[in-house]
Amino acid sequence: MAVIDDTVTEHVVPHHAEEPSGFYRWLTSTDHKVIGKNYLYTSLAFFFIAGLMAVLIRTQLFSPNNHFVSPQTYNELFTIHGSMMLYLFAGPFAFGGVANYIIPLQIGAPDMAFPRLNSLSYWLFLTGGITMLLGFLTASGAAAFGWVAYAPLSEATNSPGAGPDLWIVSVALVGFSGIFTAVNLVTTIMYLRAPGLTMFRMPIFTWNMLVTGILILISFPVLTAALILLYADRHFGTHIFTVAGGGVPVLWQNLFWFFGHPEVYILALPYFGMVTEVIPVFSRKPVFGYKGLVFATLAIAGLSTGVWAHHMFTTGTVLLPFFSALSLLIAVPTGIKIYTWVATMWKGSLDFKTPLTFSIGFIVAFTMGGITGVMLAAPPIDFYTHDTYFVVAHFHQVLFGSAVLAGFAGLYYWYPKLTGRMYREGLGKLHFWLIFIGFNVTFLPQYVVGLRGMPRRIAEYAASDGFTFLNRVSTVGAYITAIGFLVFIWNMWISWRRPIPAGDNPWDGHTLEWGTSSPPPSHNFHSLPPIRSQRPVWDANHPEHADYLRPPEPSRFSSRRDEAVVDR
Amino acid sequence: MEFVTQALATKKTPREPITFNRPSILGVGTIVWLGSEFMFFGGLFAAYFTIRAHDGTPWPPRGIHLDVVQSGIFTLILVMSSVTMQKGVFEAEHGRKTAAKWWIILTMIMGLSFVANQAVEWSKNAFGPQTNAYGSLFYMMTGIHGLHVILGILAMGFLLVRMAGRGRDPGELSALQSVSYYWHFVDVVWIALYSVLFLLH
Amino acid sequence: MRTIDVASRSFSVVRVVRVVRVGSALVLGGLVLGACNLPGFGADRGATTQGHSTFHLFQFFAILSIPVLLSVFVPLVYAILRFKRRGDEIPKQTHSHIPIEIVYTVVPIIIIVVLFVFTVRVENKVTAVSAHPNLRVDVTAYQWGWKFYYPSLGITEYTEGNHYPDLVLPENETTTVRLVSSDVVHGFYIPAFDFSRYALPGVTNYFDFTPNQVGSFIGRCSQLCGLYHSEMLFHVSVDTPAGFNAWASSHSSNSKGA
Ligand code: HEA
Ligand code: HEA
Ligand code: CUA
Ligand SMILES: [Cu+2]
Repeated sequence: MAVIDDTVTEHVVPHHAEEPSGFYRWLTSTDHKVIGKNYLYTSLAFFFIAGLMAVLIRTQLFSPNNHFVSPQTYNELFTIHGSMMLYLFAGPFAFGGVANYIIPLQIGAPDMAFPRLNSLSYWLFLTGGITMLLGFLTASGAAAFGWVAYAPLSEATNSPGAGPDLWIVSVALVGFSGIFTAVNLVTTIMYLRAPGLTMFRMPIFTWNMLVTGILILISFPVLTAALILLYADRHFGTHIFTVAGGGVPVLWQNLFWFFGHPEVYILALPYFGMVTEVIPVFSRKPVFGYKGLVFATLAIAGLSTGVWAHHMFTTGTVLLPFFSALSLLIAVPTGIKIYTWVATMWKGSLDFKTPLTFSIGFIVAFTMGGITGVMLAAPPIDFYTHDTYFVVAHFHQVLFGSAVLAGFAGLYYWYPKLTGRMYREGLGKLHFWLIFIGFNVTFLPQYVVGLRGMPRRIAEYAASDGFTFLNRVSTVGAYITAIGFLVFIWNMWISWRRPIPAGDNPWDGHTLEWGTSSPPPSHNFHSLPPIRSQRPVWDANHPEHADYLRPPEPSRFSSRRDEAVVDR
Repeated sequence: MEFVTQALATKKTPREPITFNRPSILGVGTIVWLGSEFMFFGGLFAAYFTIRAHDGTPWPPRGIHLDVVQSGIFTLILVMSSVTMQKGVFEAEHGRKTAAKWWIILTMIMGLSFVANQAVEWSKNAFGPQTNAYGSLFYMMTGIHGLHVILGILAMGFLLVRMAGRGRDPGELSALQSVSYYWHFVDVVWIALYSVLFLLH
Repeated sequence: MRTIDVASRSFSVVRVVRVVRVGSALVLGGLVLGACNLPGFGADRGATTQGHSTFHLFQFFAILSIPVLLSVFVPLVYAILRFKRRGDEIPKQTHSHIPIEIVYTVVPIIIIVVLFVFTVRVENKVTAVSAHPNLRVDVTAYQWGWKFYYPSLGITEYTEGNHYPDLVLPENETTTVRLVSSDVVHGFYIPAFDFSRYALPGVTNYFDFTPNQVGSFIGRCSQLCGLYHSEMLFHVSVDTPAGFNAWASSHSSNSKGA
């Protein structure tokens, strides 16, 4: 394979004998690398299951008045598809999988702060995921009230049975798992950084995970509280979300979206972090505007806790200009990120390996989805498009863009680090083109069909509605995407069966994880390079272009504090 | 922000040999986690105030009477238990393990009496969680808080077991400190709950 | 023109606000005049005066998003074509460039402010509820149907089996809708009016329609409300005032689904 290993690795580390070998030891390990991998495999499995549900959804919508699945099954399918994609794939893949594996390496730590808590997180997550799927086996079927579970539809009278209860328990378990992981990540990043790795030398991925962790700690507990109250309503006869007895149904929406909106950035920031690692490495340049990126991340996090009611514009109960203004404002820090990525590529030396290709696909998809998000942030436009396929198209462009395109950019990028092997470049490219085309064919028509008035979450439409053609196109797109993922599975399979050794630093990486062996030894590092800038491994490999050689930039933004970044 | 370096820099020279002068990793983790607990109770309070704001009728609804004085007394006991807990931490920090253990036991007793009083009050109330939204909120909020108190007492029980040995277990002190953070937090939450549910009308 | 007395004032916040106001009024006016010839980007043109303003706002957003998209895609494509890795030499290690960073922060802020000003204007128009409407309709949503009650006429229309009820409205007259739900959350959605609003249990919502063209349209439930959410449809008929009156007098006797 034409993978160029142009870096000379200083020390060849013998492959560690102390790594757990047996299946049992693998299951009980508290090594963040083992747990991280478990998270990756499990969340990818959930992604495939949820993707398969999406294929069923699209098949049902292929024709008007279709009876491929019943309305009840259809409602269950999109509920679990959405819930699984968000709670069990996009989140855990990022902060349970990639971050868990990469963060300790990036900051030069031997493990996470609380290894056993980390293991507990994983088991809570797995249990939660299985619990959610078990809903399909109950007599009443799985939950069928959408991933947002609006009360009073989710109350016992309207959604009786065990399926909805299992959904509540499942989301609560996954929520606890997320909170514990966040505690772990935040503590690890604050406490276990290697000497010399100051806050403003942290890689952007680490920064984004720190902020994501904080967002999780802010938002998930509110969801937990809401779920407990909902459960009490269903089983203890309380009246929190029911009109009878003096409860307030719209309270659910407020609590849910106070969680739900930060949640969508919890699902975006880690992926922003991943592409911010990939783009500089494959452009052979430092990330452009590091401080701007940090500032933008903090701004996004701050704003995202104050915009939840943009999901409730049509309730008639919220202060429209306030929530509209804050929502619109999020475009600014997000835009800073987009322009930063493009500027990083500018005048670089672009190596179009699979990770970079996926990252570019992410920029394209995310920019489009973000701009339609800005349209939705205008209440009048939202009155028109709310709960239509326009919204479905918006959030798939940003979510698929982040969790899938950027997520797989990260996966391909760190795959050699995780396994010591190289994936097949050609298959990676094929995977990219199939899913990129498939995804656009799926979701671009949905904007149009949404503007024509097709609501979300409808099991059937009539032939006279004029939705048929666009839905057909969309369904075909979903099939193309599915084929793309078969290529991915094939790629993983072949790389596993006929391994090609990747070397420790195949990409000429910048950050500390590339300064150890692939895969890393059980305590991660035998020795650390000196950390005198944001790119210690780059500095070590390119001493003549080292970052710490550069004079402190004379800008009015850099105060005395920044000079501390340059080592004494 | 630079936690590690700062903590090292502010190292004091104490009069007595204090075994511990830098936030332990467990302590940091506990504080981070308590941040999420704060948001959790924040969610409950938000629910309370939303429902209260939507309710046109007098609040709390007619026929609901709470014993402000009796729960006030036990509120005081819970607040004092924070002091005894902290006393235990100080003793442990100075290596006086036996004294620390007695302070913890005293704290547990005070916590237990608080829970017991809550059970008594619950059984005396003329309204239940199903009566109306107010009742639902009252029982959910005091119940969830009570659960936190019980968890704290259990944690203290484990601490005592851990401190039973004669040897010097370095993790023991940070565990004690972490439980104390938690206990103070539960205490502060109760003060807020008491003010909102019992005093604010 | 008003701009003259604005110019004679000394510089102040008031003046800036004025200029922004006048300027945006002019731009909006120009857009409204010219917009009908611009593409609709797939959006419905809105068969009420309120909906039509929403349509123009959508157009405005869509048009503005073209340069924004280009500002990302043009340099991106250029970079892809131009900066492909050719050899092993290391490119210049640029860490930042403050002027550019300021531009890509400040320009979006300006765009956002403009978008916000237009949004608020249209929003006020769309959400305004007339103090003296020509007609009032009380709409009740329930699983899985609608009830339309005309209090001044004593007419009731509701869903019966496969019969979808008809919401009849007079053209060029303002109707206030009072919307409630008797069970779960529903969405009262008329795509052709570019408008939807939740029917929320425990909340009463009011909004106005001033239809500006005769025709019949479809109405839907947009918010998931359970098993037959997709079948919770209704018809909307906009008739001339005369036609409406004829319908009213023929129906007020037998207030039922036709
Ligand atoms: C990864 C997840 C993600 C992300 C990042 C976003 C990003 C944004 N979203 Fe989205 N959104 C969702 C996931 C996400 N969303 C989901 C899942 C739903 C549906 C939930 C449900 O009901 O099931 C939803 C729904 C949703 C709604 C409610 C729609 C409705 O139900 O009626 C709104 C309304 O304001 C909205 C707005 C926005 C905005 C303003 C952004 C902004 O952050 C976008 C910012 C980005 C850009 C604007 C592009 C880049 C910027 C530039 C190039 C700079 C220049 C640009 C300008 C000056 C405009 N989103
Ligand atoms: C990260 C989030 C994410 C992702 C990636 C996706 C991916 C996809 N989504 Fe999803 N979707 C949501 C999040 C996401 N979705 C959410 C939150 C909702 C809202 C739910 C609600 O309304 O409550 C939703 C709703 C939703 C709807 C609307 C349903 C409705 O309102 O009625 C539709 C319809 O087309 C849809 C389609 C798709 C399709 C075709 C994909 C495709 O891109 C999927 C591609 C993936 C595959 C095709 C997997 C293929 C895998 C294999 C072939 C391998 C199989 C092998 C083994 C199992 C070993 N989604
Ligand atoms: Cu009523 Cu959907
Ligand atoms: Cu949002």
